[in-house]
Amino acid sequence: MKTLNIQLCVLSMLILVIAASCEGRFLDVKPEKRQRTPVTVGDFLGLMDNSDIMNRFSSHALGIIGGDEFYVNEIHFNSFPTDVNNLYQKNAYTWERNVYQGGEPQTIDWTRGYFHILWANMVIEGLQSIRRENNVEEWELAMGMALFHRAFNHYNLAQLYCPVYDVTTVNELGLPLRLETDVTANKSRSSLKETYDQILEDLQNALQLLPEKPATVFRPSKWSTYGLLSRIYLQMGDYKNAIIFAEQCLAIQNNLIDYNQIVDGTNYSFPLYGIDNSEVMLTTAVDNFSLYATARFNADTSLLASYCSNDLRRNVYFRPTNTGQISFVGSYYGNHLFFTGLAINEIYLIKAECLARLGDVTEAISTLNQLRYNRMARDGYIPLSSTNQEEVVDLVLEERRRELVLRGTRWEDLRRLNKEQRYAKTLVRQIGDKRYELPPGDVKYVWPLPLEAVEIGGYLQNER
Amino acid sequence: MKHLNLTVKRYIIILLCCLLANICSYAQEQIVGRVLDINGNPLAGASVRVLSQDIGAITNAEGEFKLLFLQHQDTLVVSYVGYVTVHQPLSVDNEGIIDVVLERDPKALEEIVVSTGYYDVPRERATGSFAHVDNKLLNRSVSTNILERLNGVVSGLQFVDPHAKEASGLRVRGLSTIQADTRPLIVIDNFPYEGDIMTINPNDVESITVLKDAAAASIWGARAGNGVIVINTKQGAYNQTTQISLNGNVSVGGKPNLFYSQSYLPSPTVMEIQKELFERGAYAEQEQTYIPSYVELLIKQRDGLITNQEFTRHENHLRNSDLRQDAMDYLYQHSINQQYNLGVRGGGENYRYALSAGYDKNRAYIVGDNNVRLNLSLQNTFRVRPNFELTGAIWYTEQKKMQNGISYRDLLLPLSPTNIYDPLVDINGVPGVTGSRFRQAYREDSEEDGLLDWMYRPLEEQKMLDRTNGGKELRLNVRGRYEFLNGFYLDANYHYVNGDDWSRESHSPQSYFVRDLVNQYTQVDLSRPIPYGGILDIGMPVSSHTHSARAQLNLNRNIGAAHWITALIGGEVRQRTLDTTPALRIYNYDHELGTGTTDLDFRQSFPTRPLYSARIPNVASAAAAPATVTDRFLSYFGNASYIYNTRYTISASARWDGSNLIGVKANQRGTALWSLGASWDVSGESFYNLEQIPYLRLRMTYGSAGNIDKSQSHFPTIQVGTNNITGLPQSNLRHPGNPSLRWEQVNTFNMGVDWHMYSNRIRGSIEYYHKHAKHLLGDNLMDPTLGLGMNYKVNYASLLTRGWDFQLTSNNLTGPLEWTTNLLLSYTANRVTSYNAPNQLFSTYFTNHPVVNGKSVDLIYSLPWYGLNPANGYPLVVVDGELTSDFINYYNNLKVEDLLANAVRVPPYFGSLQNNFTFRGIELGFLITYKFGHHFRRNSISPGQEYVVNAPVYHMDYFNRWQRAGDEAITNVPAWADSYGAFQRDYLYKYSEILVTRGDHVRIQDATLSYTFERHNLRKLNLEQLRFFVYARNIGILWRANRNSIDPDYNNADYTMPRSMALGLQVTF
Repeated sequence: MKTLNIQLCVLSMLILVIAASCEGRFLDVKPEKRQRTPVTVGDFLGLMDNSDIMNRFSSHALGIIGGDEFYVNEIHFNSFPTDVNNLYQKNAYTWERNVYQGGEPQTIDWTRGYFHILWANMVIEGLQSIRRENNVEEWELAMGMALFHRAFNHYNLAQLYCPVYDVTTVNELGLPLRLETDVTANKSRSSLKETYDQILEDLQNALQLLPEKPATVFRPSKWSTYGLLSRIYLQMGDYKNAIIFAEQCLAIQNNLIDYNQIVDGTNYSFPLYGIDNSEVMLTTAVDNFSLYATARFNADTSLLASYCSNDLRRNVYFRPTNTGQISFVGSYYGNHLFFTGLAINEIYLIKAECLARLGDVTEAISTLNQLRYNRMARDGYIPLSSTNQEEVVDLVLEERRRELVLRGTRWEDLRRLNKEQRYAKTLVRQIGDKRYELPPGDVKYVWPLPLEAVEIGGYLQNER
Repeated sequence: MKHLNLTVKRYIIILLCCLLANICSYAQEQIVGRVLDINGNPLAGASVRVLSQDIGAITNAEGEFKLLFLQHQDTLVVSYVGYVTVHQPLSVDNEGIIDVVLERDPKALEEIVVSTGYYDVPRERATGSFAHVDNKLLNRSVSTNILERLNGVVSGLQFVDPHAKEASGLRVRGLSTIQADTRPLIVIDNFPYEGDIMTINPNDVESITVLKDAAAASIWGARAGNGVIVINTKQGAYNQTTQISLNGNVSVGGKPNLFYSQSYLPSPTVMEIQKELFERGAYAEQEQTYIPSYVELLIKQRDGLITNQEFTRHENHLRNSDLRQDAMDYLYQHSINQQYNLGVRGGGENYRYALSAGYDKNRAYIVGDNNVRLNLSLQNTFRVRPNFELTGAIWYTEQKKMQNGISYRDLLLPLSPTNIYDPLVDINGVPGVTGSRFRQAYREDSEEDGLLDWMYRPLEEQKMLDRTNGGKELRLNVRGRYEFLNGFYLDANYHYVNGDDWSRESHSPQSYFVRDLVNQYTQVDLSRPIPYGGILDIGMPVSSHTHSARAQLNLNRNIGAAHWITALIGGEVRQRTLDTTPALRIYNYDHELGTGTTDLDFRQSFPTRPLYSARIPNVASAAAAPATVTDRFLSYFGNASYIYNTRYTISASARWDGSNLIGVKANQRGTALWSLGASWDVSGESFYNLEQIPYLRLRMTYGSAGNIDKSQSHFPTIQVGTNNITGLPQSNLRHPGNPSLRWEQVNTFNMGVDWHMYSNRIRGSIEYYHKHAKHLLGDNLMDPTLGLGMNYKVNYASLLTRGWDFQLTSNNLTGPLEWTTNLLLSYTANRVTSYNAPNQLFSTYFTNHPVVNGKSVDLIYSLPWYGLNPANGYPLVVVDGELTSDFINYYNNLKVEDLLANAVRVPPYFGSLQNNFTFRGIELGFLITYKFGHHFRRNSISPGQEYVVNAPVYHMDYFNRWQRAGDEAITNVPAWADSYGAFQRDYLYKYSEILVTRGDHVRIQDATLSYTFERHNLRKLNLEQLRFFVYARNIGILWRANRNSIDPDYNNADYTMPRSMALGLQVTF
């Protein structure tokens, strides 16, 4: 009887113990082959090469809505839907104190910006556990792209949700800097200086890793990193550095498109996605939010009036619709989405402005004329000339407004130029008999954080 | 911690095993016997007692018992519910196996043995909540699909989709989850079944048990959260003479009545509307735009292309046409479903078997839709040793479906817009032309331009369609069963399922599909980038393989007469892989030769007709690659119950489940679930003396079960593919990873009372349950700074479902005329107890069913109704307490709190009443089902939608609309509008409370009449039994609360399910 007992125990245990001992490995198998945990350098590079994510929905919508490049007529404004997907756009358009009501879609600037940053962090963290030596080229490319995107998105967010950078504001509230993927790690808002330091550090690191020129316009490169650094230093008021990076950028490639060569007759003036557009260094786009969708978009009248008769941009950029509105067809993205990436026409303008501000008016005018030559009809083209520093800066800034239309840069320009009496501008919206104003330097140039970020994330809200 | 847990777990298992083993260690001499019914079928669970002593046994599944230490002379008392108790004398001379044969007690009740898939237990000894459907009840109805036979006969099982053919349309006792899978687990012959339920031949099924509470279902652990449906197939029995049964039946169903739906306007009205739109210049006369055929006629008249006489002739023809009548005449038919089955069962001394062959051939009511199914099965069991049994079983199913029909719905699709006046047979008696994407006038000239004929004629297409799909499924089962000591047995099972599904669609060169595609791509020089020839589409083949293995140690014995113990412990591994291969399209396919090409220029963009340019559609895109999905499960389980003095029962079960779908760390991967239950047979107590209620039993259970959502992942997951623009490899972050992902858990409390009255003629049971589902996955409000993006679900939500099930069976009449009534009534309601969904778009409250904290998941939201404005007939609204017509302002300022949320769309009360009459072999039965307490949103007009050029919306309420001041007293249908205008005006009516209509109704679901020839009449024919039956289904509604003649189960449908009538014959040799 005793032996039977032992037999019984052994028998019954056998199966269970075998099953238990292989439990770990048995359940380790990945549920789906194609859907799996990213492990290889290629997986991480693939995340950065996902242009539908990384090169779309850049955080520029509030800046475009709050800026002075388009307007919405009274009927469209009054009939604009007020549900949670839309109301914040309407609020932003008239610079209300409260913009968000909570529950906004995932496409708003804040959420999309940090979505891109999460992807970048996933790559940065993932690559750190893979040996670079095994695949140096792809590893460096993926890491460089991730650092670039983290910096680019932090920078774009800082233009919307933080004050303008200068010596007086460096200790004000910057962004929550998300540098890791751990969703349980909560960070408070950094100072503005810390934010910019992090952005510049990421870009300097990216410069060490990225190739000089990109294999596709969707990938960052040294070329576009120089361009972005130049843009950032201009925004920070560091004209010297801005010139240094602008020149390094243009040294890589500086071919401008001659607008005289643009063939009429297509729906949009420029090739799709910026592919085959020699000026485009990096393509990103901000999607068409409903307030400035083609049905409601009207180009700003003072902007339209600023083009002289032989300025080709007037017709390359703008076209009347069959409802009598003037729509924008000059996006370097090549369709109805606005291009918000980096292109060398902007770098020419940065270089010209910084040269002028530092007193090198001859070189500034010459740089500006290089650009203008490609934008004006050949018949009757007269190069600009001036030796007055202030006048040259005026000329550059006027040209800048005419050239960089709906590129996401206008909001940044309004913010930094408001600090100078000469360029400060009060924005006005006249809707029926209601008038809304945004005076220069107003606190409303800093947008409020989404309510969820404040309530769940615990971040300090911007004063408005 | 992980190792500690595992070690502890192993020690517990060893301890349990030793305990179980010790119980039998004093075994000595024994006598072996078997309890059988008069047909030689074993009776499991019969009680065997020695008269003079306090020892006894319960028979096992084979009807066998063993008793120890017998005196020289004694008497065995063998009893079994529903049978006459036998006193059998014993002497020491009895050697070998003693057979005790019990005869059925005509006055007694039938014993019900319920099956959980792990063990079988007589219902009287179970503490949990089981619903059992025996073979007779299953065969009451006629259907190809086994689940359909459960409709209306299972307490607490709700058909949310009234004609559910899959588990997804069912709810067992309401909801247990919010966003994860709601399907109950289906178990076939002890193993979870994840294939197509249509492969199961209902004739192979012996019985079905539905496990409703934790004590019943928690043995299925992490997958039992939505309830379990256990299907057992027919088995042979030892020493049973071969029984051959043949049955066949034919059901004929009516044609669908397309005149049921009120979402239409008659031909003359539609023509008037289109004429007005034409006069307003609403139709853009361009090649790429569809223009209704009547408007084309008007254009021809305007342009002088036809004479006025010709115009009037055509106009009159259209005016008198009705697409619905044409569709019923040409596209629909009577359905004919044939079902044949042969079953053979029997067994010898050491061998038993069951085999069956089934064939189903169904002709659907859409002309051209057919399906056939072949089922074969064979089960063999050998008693290799007296204590060792080996079973091998195989099931094979092959299905093929032809879907060559064109339905009424197909005609209304945007790609082939058809007006109610468009005749399927035109004025000249040939197949008529209906709309397509492009203008008819443009397509009419195609042949002159050197293109192919570009007309779409439904009646010609109907003959050319060749769409088939099918599948094969093989199930194998090997089972060994080893008995040892007294009452122990070890059960080892291996189960394998392989399913392969395929589909193909062959377009002949004459088909519109081919002609349209070729024409669109025909170049200006008439060259054809797409060659003119057949096109063969081969759908994505899916192949699944499931391997499962289970080992289980069982104990089933009694100690003395008073104690009965049954226990089991075991482990199970399971793997399911799903392989998919990309779909394929072959151009220029020659059906005869089987030749074709996949090598076209898919990269170049060609100018297309009439406009734009496009690439040739390539079904096999670069991103598509073969894919494999693997699910793995590992489980340990145990179950035990102990009965004292047949009156007190306690039961417990526990299960641990692990899955590769969850977690990266082993200690987070698994979940341990358990249940406890107790029952008390009050009527067995000596103090109990209620003679009116001879049987009274109380039950109570509590425990947990789980659920899983396969779309969620613990670790970050990516999907790799190719970037459409750059052609570079790209990854998509499918899920950023949820470190806290876990199983959902449903805690169920169940309390029940079972009683018998009037000498067992009335048997009732009522059960109350309370299901608290927690750790439910739900979209959660997250800090957007985390960048998690969309679809981030967290286990945090909870749901409370409460309800009761009442069941009453009454033998109203006994004697030559028997009359039995079965009454089922259930109530269930759910409430979300924790949820913080991100704000939802206001209008989705009407169209979707958003989850809102504190509310039912099944709510219908509506807008308050204030009547029509006497001035213009549009809805009135209240702004600042004043009735006004400013509906835009009103709507735009509405908040979710302003919505009415007082109606649910799933009936909280439901049940059935089943009556059966028998008289000398004649049996008549009918089933009435009812649903109460729910609502549905009725369709009506949208003012101005009639005047929308693209996809207008019509409804017959158009004629009941407000037309002049005063009408607001008699109608709620708003006034006419000449254009759609503001959507707010539409929504205020369309989503208002007055269109939320009561769904309560009672219907007679089916009726059956049969005649069974008694055995003595069949001697000459050498038959055991002969039964004829007539069965009618979908008979009709007896009562409904709504006054709009709407069948609430078919709100918004084109037609209700047609009635059907079956004739059948069953022969047993």
